[in-house]
Amino acid sequence: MANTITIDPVTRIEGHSKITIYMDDQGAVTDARFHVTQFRGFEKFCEGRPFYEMPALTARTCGICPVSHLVASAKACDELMAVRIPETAVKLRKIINLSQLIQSHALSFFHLSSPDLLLGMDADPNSRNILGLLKSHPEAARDGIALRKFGQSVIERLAGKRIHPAWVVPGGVSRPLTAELRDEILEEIPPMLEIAQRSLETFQGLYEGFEREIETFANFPSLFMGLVTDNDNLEHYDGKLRVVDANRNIVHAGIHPASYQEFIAEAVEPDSYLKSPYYRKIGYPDGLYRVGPLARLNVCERCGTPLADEALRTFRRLSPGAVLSSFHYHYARLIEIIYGLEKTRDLLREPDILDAHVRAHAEPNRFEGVGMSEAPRGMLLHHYRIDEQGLISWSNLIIATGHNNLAMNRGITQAAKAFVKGDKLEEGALNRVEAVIRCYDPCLSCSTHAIGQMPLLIELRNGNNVLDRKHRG
Amino acid sequence: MGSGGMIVLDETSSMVDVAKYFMEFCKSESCGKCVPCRVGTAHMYDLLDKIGRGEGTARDLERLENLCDVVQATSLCGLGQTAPNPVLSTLRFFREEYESKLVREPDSEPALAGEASA
Amino acid sequence: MNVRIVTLSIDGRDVGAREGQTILEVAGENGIEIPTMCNLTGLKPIGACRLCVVEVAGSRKLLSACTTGVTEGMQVTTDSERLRNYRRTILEFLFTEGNHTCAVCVSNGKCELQELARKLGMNHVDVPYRYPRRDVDATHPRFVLDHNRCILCTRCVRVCDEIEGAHTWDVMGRGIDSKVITDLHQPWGSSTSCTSCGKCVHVCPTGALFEKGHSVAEMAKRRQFLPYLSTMRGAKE
Repeated sequence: MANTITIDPVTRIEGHSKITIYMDDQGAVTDARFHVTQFRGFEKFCEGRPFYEMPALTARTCGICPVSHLVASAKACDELMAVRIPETAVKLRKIINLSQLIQSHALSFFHLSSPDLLLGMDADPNSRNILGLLKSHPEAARDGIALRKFGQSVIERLAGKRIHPAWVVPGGVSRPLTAELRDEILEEIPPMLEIAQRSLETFQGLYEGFEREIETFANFPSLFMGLVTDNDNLEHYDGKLRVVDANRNIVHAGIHPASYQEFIAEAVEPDSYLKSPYYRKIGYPDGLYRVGPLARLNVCERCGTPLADEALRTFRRLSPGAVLSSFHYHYARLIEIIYGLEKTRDLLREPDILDAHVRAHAEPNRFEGVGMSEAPRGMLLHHYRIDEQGLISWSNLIIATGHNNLAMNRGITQAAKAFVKGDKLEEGALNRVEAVIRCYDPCLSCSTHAIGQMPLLIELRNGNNVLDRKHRG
Repeated sequence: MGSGGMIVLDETSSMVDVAKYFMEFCKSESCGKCVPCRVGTAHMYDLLDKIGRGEGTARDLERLENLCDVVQATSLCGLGQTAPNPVLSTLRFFREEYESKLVREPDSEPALAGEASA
Repeated sequence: MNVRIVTLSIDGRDVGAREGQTILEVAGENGIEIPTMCNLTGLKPIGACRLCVVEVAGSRKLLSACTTGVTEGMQVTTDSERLRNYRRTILEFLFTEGNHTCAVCVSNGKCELQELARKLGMNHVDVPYRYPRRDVDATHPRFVLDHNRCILCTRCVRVCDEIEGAHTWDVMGRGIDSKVITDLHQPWGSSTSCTSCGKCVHVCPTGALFEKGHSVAEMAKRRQFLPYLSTMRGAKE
């Protein structure tokens, strides 16, 4: 491993990280590693706090998907209280979770990744961002902004606040939905569905131009993990965990969230603060599995809404088994946006959605609780233990990006081998390596994200000698 | 300090340490009822300690002087009102001793009250 | 009853007052707001937080408006650059002394400390945060005491003693290590004197005392009982 390329920080993702590419003396890539360089310590400083604070406290992990943490945390708290929350509260939580999914997917696809897709992987990095896109493809950029705004504004109107709302509470939600707001949102959905379908069509016309990327962007057999409903439909809030293999054969189904430890183990690598979970029954590192939009579509039988199911049928034609290339996370994301809009509409039409009883009250009745939900990036898990006073004595959070850690590492190695050659740095090649990471839309628990202006230093090293250096930003 | 006694020190004594010694006394004698004395003496002690360790900046010295003013003027009883005296008098006569221990200010020192906002 | 009237000036305005009133009361009656924290109408004033300090002509020292009675011809200044600087620093003391994380606090948006910071324009803190390690006592079946958010105003101590008559609360230790305790530093849940009336919770200006089952920003304090109860007790004595 004579030469090393470091990409630090990785741009157009949410959070701070770097990539190191190792090369042999002949200039061939031998390995690539994805490092998460920030340490947060949430699990530690939650200790001693009343469990009731956990949804709001853990939501602060991230400014991009606070709602996902709110939902998973509140579910874990429901378990501690041992209550069945009102049906209407379940539906309202589902709606806010889907709004989060829509806004996050729109951000990932349009703001962060579509510059690569529409302008090209080798386009000038100065315009290869959402601002450049506004100039060259104003309609696509505006569509993305509109979709994200829709998701954000539903969250804001339901919960009173766009970022870090405290509406989802242990036992349910704090305020019922009003008829005016329901009608308002219902009216906004059809134009959003049009945008989502239009974007999907554009993408379907595009991806064939990215054959090499599809082939090499983390394209390998692996397990996939995600929640499904009792009738095997796509699910983001409730349900049981299911694991399928590369042929979409069920490896394990009906896993109750509380028993996750029987199926998931976590390895710690010395060079990253991100833990590496793996499927316990197969072991480390072969028990690599993927989560998130691609995994969810590979795991479920159908979406359960007409337009999304139609799109899913076309998606299934990509492969007889599971769709394996992580490039298609983008595709899956667009299908999920359609599903999210349709499902929100259906939920809002439920007769009991305006019910005023939306919160159950109880003392803690159990000492341990696990809450699981599907965040935009994949399965999110909160696991708490409390003492007799209801104070947190131990907590474990498994974040979606963590599940994908092993897959991201293998994926960048594959892409680096295909695109990075010799001792000369090609900007477009390195962008492709970064783009693999962007496929997974990792949320590195930080609200910082750049629009092409983050300084990025890439060094190609031979021992201590810098062979080539590129600075952009 | 307090009793009207006299203390004789030679030139080897660090005046910052002397002030810190008296501040430690005031900090532990503070009853804790009023805010300026309870919290101010603790902050002044910490700043004197920081400057004494050679880690204080010019900004810290400025802070210290401001705290002396606040604690002296607003404390409820004589203990707090006189607690800053050893700092103020050592500063009046031996200011260069304080200044010789300062380090250069880092370029930026973020002290935003993120926690005060909703 | 024979009430003597005194005249004085506050911020250059001539005002009349009844003898025995405090500067704070008279200022309030005349629409002049002086920041306070430990003071609460209905409880005995103690002049501890020092936020209400005012300048009085002829007095070398600053005086706390909540404990200083008005006198004939008194000239009071409630607002000046100097006083604003002092009040801000005292407020910073309160914020840096404990661990006040508004974002996850039950009293967010309903907190007197937070509201005062907003009023006094405290947009940053100049003194370093102390980040003390403090406990949470959730042993009481209905209430929680979070020492991290306690500013030692002792309203809980006074309401329990003066109004409820239980005197469950007290202050232990001294200086920066002071803390409020129940009974003789026993867990609140095992207190034999506490009547669980909840008055302490509702007079607490921050989220240090709160009812269980409230999430972020949900703990609204209700104080309507206090003027009524203190008047009733005053009439009895």
